[in-house]
Amino acid sequence: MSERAPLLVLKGVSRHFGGLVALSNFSVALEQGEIAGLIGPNGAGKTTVFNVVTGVYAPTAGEIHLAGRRIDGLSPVAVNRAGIARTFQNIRLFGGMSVLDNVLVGFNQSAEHGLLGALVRSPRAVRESRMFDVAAMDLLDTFGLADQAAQVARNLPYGAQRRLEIARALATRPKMLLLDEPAAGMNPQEKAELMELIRFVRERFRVGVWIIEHDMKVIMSICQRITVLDHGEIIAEGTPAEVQADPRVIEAYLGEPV
Amino acid sequence: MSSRKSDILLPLVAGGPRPWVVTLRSNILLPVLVVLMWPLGRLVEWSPYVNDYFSHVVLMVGISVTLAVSLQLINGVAGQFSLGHAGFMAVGAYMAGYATKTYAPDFAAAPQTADAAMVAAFFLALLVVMTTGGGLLAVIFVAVRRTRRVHRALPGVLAVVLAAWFVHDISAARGQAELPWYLLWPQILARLGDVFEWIMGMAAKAAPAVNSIVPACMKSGTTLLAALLGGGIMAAAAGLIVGLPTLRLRGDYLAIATLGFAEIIRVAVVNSEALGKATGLSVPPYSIEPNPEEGMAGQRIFPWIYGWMLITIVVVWRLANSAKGRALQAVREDETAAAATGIDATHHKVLAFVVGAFFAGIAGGLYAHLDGYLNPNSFGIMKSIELVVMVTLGGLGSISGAILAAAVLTWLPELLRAPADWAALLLRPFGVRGAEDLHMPQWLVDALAAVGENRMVFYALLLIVMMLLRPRGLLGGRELWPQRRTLHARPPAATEDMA
Amino acid sequence: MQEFFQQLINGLSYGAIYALIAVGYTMVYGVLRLINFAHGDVYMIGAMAALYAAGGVYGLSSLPWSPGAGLLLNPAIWLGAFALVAGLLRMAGRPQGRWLRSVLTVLAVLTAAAAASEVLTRAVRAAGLPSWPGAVLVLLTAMVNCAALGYVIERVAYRPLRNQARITALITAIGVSMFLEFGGQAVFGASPQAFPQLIPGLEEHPELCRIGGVVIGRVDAMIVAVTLAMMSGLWWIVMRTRTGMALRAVSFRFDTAALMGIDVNRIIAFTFVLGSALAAVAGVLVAVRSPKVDPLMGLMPGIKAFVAAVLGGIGNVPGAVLGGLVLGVTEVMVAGYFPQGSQYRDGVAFVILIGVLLLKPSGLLGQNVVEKV
Repeated sequence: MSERAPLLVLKGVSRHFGGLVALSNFSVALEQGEIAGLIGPNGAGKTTVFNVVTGVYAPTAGEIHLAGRRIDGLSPVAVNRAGIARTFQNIRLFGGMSVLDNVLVGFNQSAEHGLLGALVRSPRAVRESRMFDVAAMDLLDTFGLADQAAQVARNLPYGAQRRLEIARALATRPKMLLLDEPAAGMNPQEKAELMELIRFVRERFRVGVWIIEHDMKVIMSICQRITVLDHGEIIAEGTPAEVQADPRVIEAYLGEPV
Repeated sequence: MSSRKSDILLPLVAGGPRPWVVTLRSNILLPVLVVLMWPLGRLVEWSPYVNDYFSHVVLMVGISVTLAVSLQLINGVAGQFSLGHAGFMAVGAYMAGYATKTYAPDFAAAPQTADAAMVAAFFLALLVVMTTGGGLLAVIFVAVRRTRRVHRALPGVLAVVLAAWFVHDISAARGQAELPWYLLWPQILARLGDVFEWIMGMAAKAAPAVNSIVPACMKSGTTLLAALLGGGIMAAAAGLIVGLPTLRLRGDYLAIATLGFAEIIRVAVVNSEALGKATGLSVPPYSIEPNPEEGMAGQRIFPWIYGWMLITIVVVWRLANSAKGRALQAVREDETAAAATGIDATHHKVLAFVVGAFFAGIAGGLYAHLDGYLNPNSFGIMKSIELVVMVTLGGLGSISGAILAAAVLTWLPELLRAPADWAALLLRPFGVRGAEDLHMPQWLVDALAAVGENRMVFYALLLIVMMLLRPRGLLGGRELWPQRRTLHARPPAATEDMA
Repeated sequence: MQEFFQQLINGLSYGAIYALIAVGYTMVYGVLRLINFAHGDVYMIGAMAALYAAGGVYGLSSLPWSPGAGLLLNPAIWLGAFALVAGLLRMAGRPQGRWLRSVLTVLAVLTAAAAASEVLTRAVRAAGLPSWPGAVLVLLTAMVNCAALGYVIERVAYRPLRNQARITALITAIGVSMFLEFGGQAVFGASPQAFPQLIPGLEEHPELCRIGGVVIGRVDAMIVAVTLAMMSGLWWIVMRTRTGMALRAVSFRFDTAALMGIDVNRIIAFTFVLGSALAAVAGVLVAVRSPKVDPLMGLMPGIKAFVAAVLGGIGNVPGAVLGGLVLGVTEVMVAGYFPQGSQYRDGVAFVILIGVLLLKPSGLLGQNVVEKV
């Protein structure tokens, strides 16, 4: 897509938990506007990669760069401010808040008015709150959640909750979106809609997307590049076609070369 | 802040009033209401229905509501389980009380002796000393934590060594030479004390000039205000000190930690000579009118209590319904997800603590000047628990619930204490002058007396029953009044940039 | 050095008391994740029940709720209510609904406890005081009463709220605590009362033995011995019986235990009964040591025992014992070695609390449970 420098670069990233090696020498470079995939058997360390990138864990070794800036070791909040947003394997919405509020929270970091402004309802606070309301409704509209805006988030059906989580992530205006098993628990129809949505999001919001998925159809159809992880190490990398044909990948998933 | 029913949203309305109009509109009502408290106070005073006892209950209700609403911000909106709110109240009460007692002991009765400037200077000096001392501690703390990499710790250690050397030099110059190194700490404290004295000295010179600017009728008022604000700021500082280390704790552990801090504050007061130890501190009460014949003891402080109550309600309400309030709720719902969405849990939790503590301190200061006497036992665990009960009974997250519950729970023990008197009050318009006029049968009188003597047992039973029947609170976590959000649209040209 | 050991012995004695109460806190927290604020007051009821059973109040021969006494809480009334309710239900059909069953069960338990108390107090009269059999019977009476109380509290105040937010149960616990304290003041009178001597020969020979100048008092030795016995009994129950294993399962994972066919309600009730009985033992031991009891005596020890439980790792039974001992010893050391120490004695618990929460929130023996993202 773009010939510029890669957006997200991981160099030799490792993560140890005591004696357990969750990630070892993980290196990857993701371009801007690219949809990349991360697959591997259960327990391979995929979510650990996301956790390390987003600052939940600091890498035991290695470096992580986002748009040229080092982000390894930063806190999750700082990483989000730097431009990476994520969704979670087990949906983590703000269940008791409304759908609209969930998305509005994402805009908080773009706000320039502070505590005092909020208390006295300064003109800037009023203006910003209106802007955010509009932008949030717009975002909800994109994700087909506009008419549920007043609904309490935990009452949404599962598919809608997943979409809401992505919408909330996008509200933080990221450069890069990390989706952890977004299609889990969806039926084929919903999965097809999700794939469309991801492509649309990439176009409209100009973000790079990195997806962890187990559903091969989803991964193979929307990802341009796939990294395969097993026991914390990269065992294959390339286009969907290349990865599908790679014997090491087949062995990791099926146990024996076919 | 409701956890069951969400706001009712009206569809996007085009246009809407200009921002500065909204600002203006939003900020007129509160000052007007606060000012109205003064004539309202007079009205209460003149009312033939009310005597000293009833007015005292009314004033206590005002204070309790302020405390409950400020706690609701911490426990309900931010979802932090604080069981030490009475500690913040104590800080505010003792700081404000000590300030007026020491620097303006007659300010209520004889306004010409009101010394707002000295009171303000006292708090300023305290803040300076605390910041310096705290800064020093912070430097040492950070330096020690960074010692994983020695070269990073060096600047900090160097700074400490230099400071110690400097202090030692001054002591030596004053003839207290050859002090062993571990006695430096008393020296540092003594130096901080010197700074404090110096500031107060300067203030003493400037004070008369500053005080002469204030018109005579507002003299005692400004002193009270200075004391209250000082107490509130000190309580906010306490909120900061308590909030920062306890952030990482969740749920029950946070509750225990806050309980512990409140107890430590109380024990510190009990062991402090200046604050009256266990016998208590007497504070110049603001309740007594210059001419006591002219009305009840309490009405003078009425507008202050209810004015601050209104301010607290409005501030907490606005905060809870703003973007910051949403952030607080997000932290309450799921800290990890909040962090991933760019919300700094630390910052927001501390914010909730600080704002909540500030208003608790104000309430404490008002309490101090209401009765004129502070007993450390009134700020113990029971008080914190009473406040938590108010907040939970009203429904976590519901501000109107907290107001309702605070009013009911403050009034209930008093009702149980003398039900006949309250019934008589209700029937006053019908010519009943007192409980004797009710002509109750003896068995009823005896039964009510028994209830009155054992009212706390009934209070406890009532509490248990209320929690069993309405576990989510009196209002079920919702607000008393319906909430509606109007979404205003901006002209289309500006919206595409946000997406 | 000698003083150090002396203080140590004293501290162990105090620590044993804290340990007994702390175990109750920690077990309930383990199964329910609830801080049972009322536990300290159960300890107080234990002391009060022992007081009455020992005939220390106006020479009354039995407990205020025994048939022999003339007070409101007379088991004849319980029995009457039981009969009345059962009769009404017979007329209306079979007993319906869980609520009704709860009421009946509670009434039955209270009646049984009152009847047992009456029998036991008669036995105490027969054995006479001070005497060893008398002392044991008094202890038993206290344990029976507190066990029943614990059961009733759980059944009435906590079980209905099991599916609600934890804070709700916490507030209810506070309500129960207040009820016991103020109710106790109403029933027992607010002023402290003297506790009669239970152990023969305690006043004449207060020392058990002397080791190199360190005095080991009989009271202290007895406290430690009884605590050891109780802890051994507890260990045996928790580790060697099926019920104990079920208890451990429920502590570990509530839902799964229920799915495995464990009657969770019974186990939780059992936990409360066990913890309350131990609190009763603590109450009696304290009454023997410092013979003044009053309705508010449970306040401070309750808080301190709770701190002990947190210190050891809340939810962890050996931790509670360890925490209790550490707290007791530390308190006594602070009071002994610092010049103004006795004033700061109460503050020790809170300083330890803050220290634990800031440095190692999971406690000495607790495990850090890290949340999986």
